[in-house]
Amino acid sequence: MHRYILKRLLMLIPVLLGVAFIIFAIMDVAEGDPVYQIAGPDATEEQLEALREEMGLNGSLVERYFRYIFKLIRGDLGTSYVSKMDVMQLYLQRLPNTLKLASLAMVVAVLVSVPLGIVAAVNQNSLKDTISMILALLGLSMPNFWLGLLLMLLFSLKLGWFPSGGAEGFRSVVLPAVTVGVGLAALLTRTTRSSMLDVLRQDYLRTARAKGVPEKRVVFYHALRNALIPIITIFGVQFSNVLGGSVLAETVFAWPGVGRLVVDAIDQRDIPTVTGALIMTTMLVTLVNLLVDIVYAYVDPRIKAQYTK
Amino acid sequence: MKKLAIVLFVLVVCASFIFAGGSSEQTPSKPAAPAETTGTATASGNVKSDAVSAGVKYKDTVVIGIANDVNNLDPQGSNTDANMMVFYLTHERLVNIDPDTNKVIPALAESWKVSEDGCVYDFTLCSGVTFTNGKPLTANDVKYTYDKAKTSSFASQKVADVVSVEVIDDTHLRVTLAKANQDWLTLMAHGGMSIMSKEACEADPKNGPRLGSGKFSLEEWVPGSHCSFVRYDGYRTGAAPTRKIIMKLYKEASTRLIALQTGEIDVCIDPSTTDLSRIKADSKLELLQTPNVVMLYMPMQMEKKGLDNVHVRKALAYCMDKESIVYAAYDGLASVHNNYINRGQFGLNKNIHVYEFNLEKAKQELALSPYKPGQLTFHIMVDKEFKKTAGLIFQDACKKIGINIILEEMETAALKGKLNDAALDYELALYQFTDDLGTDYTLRNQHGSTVQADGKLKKNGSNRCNMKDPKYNAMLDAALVETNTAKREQMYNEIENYLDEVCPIVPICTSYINIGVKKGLAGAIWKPDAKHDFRNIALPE
Repeated sequence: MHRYILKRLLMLIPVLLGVAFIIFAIMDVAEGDPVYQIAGPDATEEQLEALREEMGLNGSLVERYFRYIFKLIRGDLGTSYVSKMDVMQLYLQRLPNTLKLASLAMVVAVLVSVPLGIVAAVNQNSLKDTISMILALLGLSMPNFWLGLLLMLLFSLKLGWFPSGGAEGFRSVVLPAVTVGVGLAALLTRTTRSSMLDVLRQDYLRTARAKGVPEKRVVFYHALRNALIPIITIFGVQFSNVLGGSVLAETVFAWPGVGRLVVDAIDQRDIPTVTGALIMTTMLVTLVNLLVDIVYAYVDPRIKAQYTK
Repeated sequence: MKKLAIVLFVLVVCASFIFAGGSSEQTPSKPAAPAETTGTATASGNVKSDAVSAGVKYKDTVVIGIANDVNNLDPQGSNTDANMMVFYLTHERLVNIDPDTNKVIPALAESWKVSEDGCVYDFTLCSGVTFTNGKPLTANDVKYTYDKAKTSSFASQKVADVVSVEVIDDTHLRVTLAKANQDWLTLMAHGGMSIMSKEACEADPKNGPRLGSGKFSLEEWVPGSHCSFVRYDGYRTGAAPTRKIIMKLYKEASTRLIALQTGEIDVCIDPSTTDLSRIKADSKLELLQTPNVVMLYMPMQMEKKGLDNVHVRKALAYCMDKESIVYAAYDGLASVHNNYINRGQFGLNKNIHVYEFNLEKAKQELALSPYKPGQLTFHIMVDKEFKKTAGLIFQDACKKIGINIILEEMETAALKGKLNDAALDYELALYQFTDDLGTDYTLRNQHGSTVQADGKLKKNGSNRCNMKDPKYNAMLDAALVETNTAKREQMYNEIENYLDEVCPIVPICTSYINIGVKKGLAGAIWKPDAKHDFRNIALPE
């Protein structure tokens, strides 16, 4: 198991190098020279050249890439072209907010989706099943900026229960988390339902029932545990997505997260911030995937055996 | 039962969609007329909130909801409106602009004398000025700031005429210009010329520029979230009425307005025009509106084939349906603009010839050019939805006279990059400028050019039309040194007439600045250039 984890961690290195190169290449072909963005219209040729030098924009794409990688190895993500702040500092300022939002959104998603999915599967083709699936469809098709605004109008403006924006205190994360969580819950509900349906048809559950095991134990102990693998997979994928930032929800709720940091940096052609933030996010996503794989092993001993081999 | 439940559910969803739209009142079917401004509008176009009163108890903290992030705290490191609002709080300049008259008034310099030839300025600084860390501000700091500005791509143009800055003693300094410049003091009032501490900047080049001698000092800056400032109690003319000011970023206009309505913020800058009726309807809020000096215009790259012909440019100018653009792109909340300088600037020509929307005249102008209908195709670059709408209106009009216009939509960053790029690889664009740095700066920057070492002319910074005209430059030079005000005004009128003849750009319109505030808010000065002054802002408890 340890060797497997180590192997996965080592695989992170080529992934990060590849991601960095892709970001460099994309930013290189994007229209809008960052020098012209940052210097302002009054800049002279000499000032532009000096700025190019200072920003490390001289040289070919490959040269710039390797310069960046050497700095990255030393833990230096560079300095933002716009705010002149350390990119690592900028990222770390936003990361706790993103983690807070992502975690709570996932809690909302799980609390909604798992019971709903189980109810739908256990009562397949009944009214309960139909209502669960309609709710899931609604959550999936409702744009989260629209849901966010509706929640804000009701819970901030009309009832005054939660603030409309900002990241101050626990109350401020509730509405953004519900907004993001509802969208995530939709897919998780459908996954839970279909996974549970597969498991509920298995022979060993029929045997358990025949042996007189109570239905609750059959569903929650025998069936749910075996249905968890696809649910955990989707959970991992969704958590990774939210870690990359929920730009719309962050914008609507003035939530200073990583997603908005990246989008604003792209708008301003702030290459070090875009590259640095994406590399850090890639690292985080890879670690989440690794964690998911480890969780598989604990949920299903057969997988643990495979890892050990 | 199951079918009934589904039908009921669908009905509920449909009903929620219908009612979520709100009342029809909030979606104006015709362009909204600007509201009556509740502050006091000055002759110079600023709007002043009520004055702070000694007998009123004010809140400890005022929270301002801003639309654009404060992204740089070096006065010479950027020129965005949000950053400039910060520098008015934290820093001071040698001189200020009077919000009532738009004339230069003393600030850090209590007085100054100008030599007869207009080239030498002897400043006397106020005594007892300190930075917000308590250390004295001296003439050395002014010299340091002006010398540093020479190397800044944002500030160098403002000090381009400065030959030397000489420190006489702690409170006296002499600035010598290469040539007389009647607008020079106006340039020195700009936020980008805020005086910084030499000691702080040399000790910490990154954070040093944040230290100023203003009424407030920076408390905390979290990019993408907020920026807070605390009152400097040692300010020489008395402390500000509010202890703390927070500028909080709300990118989404609807959220910003909801935050104002819930009381989370006290000022909402730039609410959405479709939401203005909500402010008017709320008894706790006030709506401030003033015409701004953000001018939408269409530069025509004069070296591109077709656009190098004045008749083609004039034909395009006659195709610009400004009224329809104001109606469709701005919901009616804008004013048609026909001048080449901004409203409120010195020398605005009130009798300028107008290129009204007239397709017949456009056809006549095209007929005078070597091109026939159907022979010309131009690309117009647009960013943002309202510019796209304006571009579509223009495209439709041009089609009627046989000029094909292709809309190129792009991000703001890409558009800005293309316009600033030395390659000048564009034809037309819809762009905005907010220069309020004096008439000369606007005209020189927008249409002027400079002679290079090889004798060739090179366009100036914001000269998007790439106009390189020695006659025009000479007219500007003559107006800049003219000391007779009436004569100078006449010269600028003539310069505008000349531009109208050359037709390098098509001025289109200026919009309105909308601000929602809590009732009773005092002390703020709302500026048409969107760089508002919050030094004396206060809100009654």
